[in-house]
Amino acid sequence: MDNGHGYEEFELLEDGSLGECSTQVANATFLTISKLICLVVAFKFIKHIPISTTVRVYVHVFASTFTVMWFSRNHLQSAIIYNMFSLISLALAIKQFSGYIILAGNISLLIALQNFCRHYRSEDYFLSIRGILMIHIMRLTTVAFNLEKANSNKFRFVQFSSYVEYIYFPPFIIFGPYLSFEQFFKMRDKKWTGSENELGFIIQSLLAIFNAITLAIISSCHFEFFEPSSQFMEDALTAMSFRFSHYFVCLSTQAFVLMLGSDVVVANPLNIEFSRSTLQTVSEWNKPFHTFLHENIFKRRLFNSTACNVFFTFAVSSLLHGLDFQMTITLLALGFIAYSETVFRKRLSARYSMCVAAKACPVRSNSLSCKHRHSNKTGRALIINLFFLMLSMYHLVFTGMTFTDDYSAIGYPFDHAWKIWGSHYYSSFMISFLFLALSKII
Amino acid sequence: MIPRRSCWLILLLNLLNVQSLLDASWWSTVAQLSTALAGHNVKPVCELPGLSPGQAQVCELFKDHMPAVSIGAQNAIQECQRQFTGHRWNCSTHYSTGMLGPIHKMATREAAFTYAILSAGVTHEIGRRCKQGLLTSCGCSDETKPKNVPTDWSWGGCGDNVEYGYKFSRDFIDIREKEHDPKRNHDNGRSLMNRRNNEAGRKILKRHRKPKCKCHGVSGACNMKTCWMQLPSMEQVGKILRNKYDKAIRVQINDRGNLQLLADEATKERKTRALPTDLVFMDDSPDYCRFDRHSGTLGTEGRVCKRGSGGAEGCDSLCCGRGYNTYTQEVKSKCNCKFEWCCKVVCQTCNNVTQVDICK
Repeated sequence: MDNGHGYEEFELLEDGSLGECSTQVANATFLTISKLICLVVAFKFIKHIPISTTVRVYVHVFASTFTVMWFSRNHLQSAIIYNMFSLISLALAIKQFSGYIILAGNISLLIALQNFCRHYRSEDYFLSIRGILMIHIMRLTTVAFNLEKANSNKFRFVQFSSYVEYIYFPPFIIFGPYLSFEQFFKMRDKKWTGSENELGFIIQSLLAIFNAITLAIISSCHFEFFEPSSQFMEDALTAMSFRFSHYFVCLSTQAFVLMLGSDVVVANPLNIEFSRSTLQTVSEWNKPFHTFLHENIFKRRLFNSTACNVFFTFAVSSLLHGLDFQMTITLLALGFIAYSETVFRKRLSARYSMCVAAKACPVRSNSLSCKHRHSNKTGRALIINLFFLMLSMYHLVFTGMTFTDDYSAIGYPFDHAWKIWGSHYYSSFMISFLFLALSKII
Repeated sequence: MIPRRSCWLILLLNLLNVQSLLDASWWSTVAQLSTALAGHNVKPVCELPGLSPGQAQVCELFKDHMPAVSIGAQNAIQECQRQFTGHRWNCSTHYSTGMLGPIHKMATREAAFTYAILSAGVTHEIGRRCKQGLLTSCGCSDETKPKNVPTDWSWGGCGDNVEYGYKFSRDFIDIREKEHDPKRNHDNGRSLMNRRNNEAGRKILKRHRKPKCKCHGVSGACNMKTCWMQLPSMEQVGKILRNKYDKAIRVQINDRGNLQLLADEATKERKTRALPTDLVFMDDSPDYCRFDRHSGTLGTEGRVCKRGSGGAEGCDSLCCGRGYNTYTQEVKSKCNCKFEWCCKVVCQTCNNVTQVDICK
């Protein structure tokens, strides 16, 4: 008798056959980038088409609104929120309100929206739209500061349409990058330079996109390639995953600006991975973001004290994320680490006349080396700089390992960062305090 | 503690019953495959006595899979022991036979749990190694199927790695239950039960795959997510199966030779249909209190228990009312470590006295 004959076969509930992690991530990222590339190509041609200013403004506004709807989960809601920020800011700007007031108003609106989402248990929706609103607020603030300088008597529709076109530029809405006013209009007014040059830009863009997707795959699927053998390695992989996700966004947007004819640099991953100092890491992390903070916040010198202006800059940088404790404390940590390292290295450089400051020594035109006795090429300075390079790598791990995947879509708990930093005994902070102490001694 | 004279008697009796033990302990054979591999430093030996003829054939055909099967089985046994730590039945090995893994002579709940978690463990490990590209016939292999492989077998193709692990586990493990092995009696009911529980373990693994996502966006935002399916860990599988174990369903063989649900005596409610992931059993469990050669139970004598605890690990429950003996145990450890200049660390040796309660 066949024993298998009597076995009661249960129906197999087949899940859909799923590809592996790398395949799925590659498909997902390419699909998203493809949509954005369509926008880039469309607006590359639109900017060369001779259409009237009024029509151009309407095209930009409607295309931007549909872009926000296209990439968001709650379509109408996102469109309303996006345009609400614009209308309020433009109205205030035209009425000659200060750029600071408009920035504060936008941040208040952002925090109000966050609290609203929190109240209705939709924190994941806020996080999905926060990136779009952050860049939007940056552009609105830039317009506000520009309008401060404008003479109200000479305000015309042409100038207003320029601001609207700058704010409502579809290719840069979802992932950015932020471009300053001058950078944007330099890009917009760039003439067609011939097929050879355009082909070169396209090849550079495709290369950047390829690198971006590769980094996105490594960011999501690193467990397929490498299994951590220790807790430190796992933390390092988490931090690497967070950084590579950031590089994916930066390189994608870099490709977009290249296609559109701009030479703005968004971020160079190599300059961050092998950074001379944490100060360089902070400024290289997102150059357009750094440009916005430096030109619109820091250089305007709201306060007399440099320390107050630095703190204010970090405060604005933090509040552009809404009330995000994790981001706030990470930015403050980075600020503290960068500050203590800069102070210590400046002291070290002056005391021993070595080229080991946080910023590379400027090379004077009349000589091949800097003013210090021990230049970059001497062994002693090289060893010290190498030590600080390794330290910067560790700081990257320390500040990035708190961005684990489990809470990234819904917001991190209050004590998440402290618990993870505690497992490393707050070592980056200890090193920073040590540097501050040593800078007083030597 | 069993007197020394009884050990010889037990050993002798075990030799007489080695034929029946082999059938119940074939998982021990599977778990030993990597031991054979490590010991001889050659390909796994496919002539181990616990393998059925069909399994030996699969072993020869898929030699590179056998370390994964072995490790999967070992992981499953570890998880089983973790789930039942402190219980009377704790998935432990029969100490006198030197075999690895539990032995089940009766068709109990514990047997159901064991078969399910072992099947899940093998599926899990095969799937994991598939993903890492460590198995030759996984992935997009263009190799044609050998002729001596039965036609209804699944041949590795371009399927999902979990799907591959699922199919391989089904073919390798269930083939034993379908064969007419002259070494064993024709227990159709037990065979059907084993196949059912094996399938339950595999299905639980498949059904509890969850999407795992990573956020991408501007400055830590979540504009975009990339997601992929992820297997549950063996801990999660053990937890789920433990739940299924508590709610296992009693079945019997009907006239047509199929498994049939029995009315639940406790609630008098008759289930019309069992879920595909439910565990099934046919025999009542013994109390696992005494060593019993016939039922294959080890007993709780000599087990460490917790005095005053009301749970399963408590002395009253674990020792089955026989009481316990308290022993003092000296544990030496380093303490009061100090740094001596320069440059070494000097520690004192402390003797910590703890009490251990052991069932009579």
